[in-house]
Amino acid sequence: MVIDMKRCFGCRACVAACKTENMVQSGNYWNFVLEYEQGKYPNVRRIFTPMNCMHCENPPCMKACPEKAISKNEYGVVLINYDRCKGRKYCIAACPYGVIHFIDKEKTFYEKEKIPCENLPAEALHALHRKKPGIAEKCTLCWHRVEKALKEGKRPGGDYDTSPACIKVCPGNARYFGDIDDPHSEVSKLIAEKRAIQLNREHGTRPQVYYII
Amino acid sequence: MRTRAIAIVFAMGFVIVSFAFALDIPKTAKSIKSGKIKVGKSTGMEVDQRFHKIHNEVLGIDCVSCHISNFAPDYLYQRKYKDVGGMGHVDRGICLGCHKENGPAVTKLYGTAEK
Repeated sequence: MVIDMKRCFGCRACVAACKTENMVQSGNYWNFVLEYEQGKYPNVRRIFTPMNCMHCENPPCMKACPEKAISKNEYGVVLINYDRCKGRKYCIAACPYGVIHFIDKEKTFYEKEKIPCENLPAEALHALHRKKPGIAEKCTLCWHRVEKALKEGKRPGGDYDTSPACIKVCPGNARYFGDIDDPHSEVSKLIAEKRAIQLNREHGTRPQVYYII
Repeated sequence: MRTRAIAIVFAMGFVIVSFAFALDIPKTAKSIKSGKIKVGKSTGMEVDQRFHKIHNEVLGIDCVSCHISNFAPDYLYQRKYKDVGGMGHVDRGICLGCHKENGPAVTKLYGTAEK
């Protein structure tokens, strides 16, 4: 994934799309926009940095997990196995981006009633949406969509249904998704041409989310 | 203010690394695994569980060596906005000092940055 920070104006459409798509409970975020000010009056600018799991090549969360509940699949997506996760929080402690969240208790959006998606039975949900209290959760790069696209022989990142929910909703076209190993893909070209960078490189985690700054 | 915060973080990192070199870390790790040093069997992040027992009681790392109250405004760390209560968040730069590929800790969580 490539995020063009020059095009991000902090609307948080990606945050809303992620919340809805993945039924992320109130208080937790798989996708979030950090913002801070740079400079001094009158030369001030606001920087918006969308953050989600970096799907590192060398993920420290995976190494830290005592239950071996975190794995990296053949497409480079780092996923948590909710059946194995015992909520030890070692992954949260190891992640240098702070993008893993803990579900301490079930929180509904409204106090006294459940919205329709909160009422869905577990069988109706993708395995990555069968969350429960006492486990860690994080961005899956909408693996349920990418997996479906791969099964149907479609190219992930091609259209809305084959991309993570945060990509195509971005009104500023600040987000790009594709195969980083393919030198002809849009993301590879952007990384090369615009000299995109990775966050916290000093940790040697080799994140797969690049930022154009 | 920012320079001061960076200086404090570096100083803490130095203290932690000094502690780490003063102790024989691999030997300590073996003793923990064999049960010679008792840290309990409960893996978790609470103060009375293994994580804090190892870092605080066995290695002698003080709470404020890791927990910081304020991040620099431009530090990109999502959970810094979340109120966790207690001691506050940990800058992972401090963990990096020991848990990097060629660091003194036995558990190598982080790699080394490519040149």
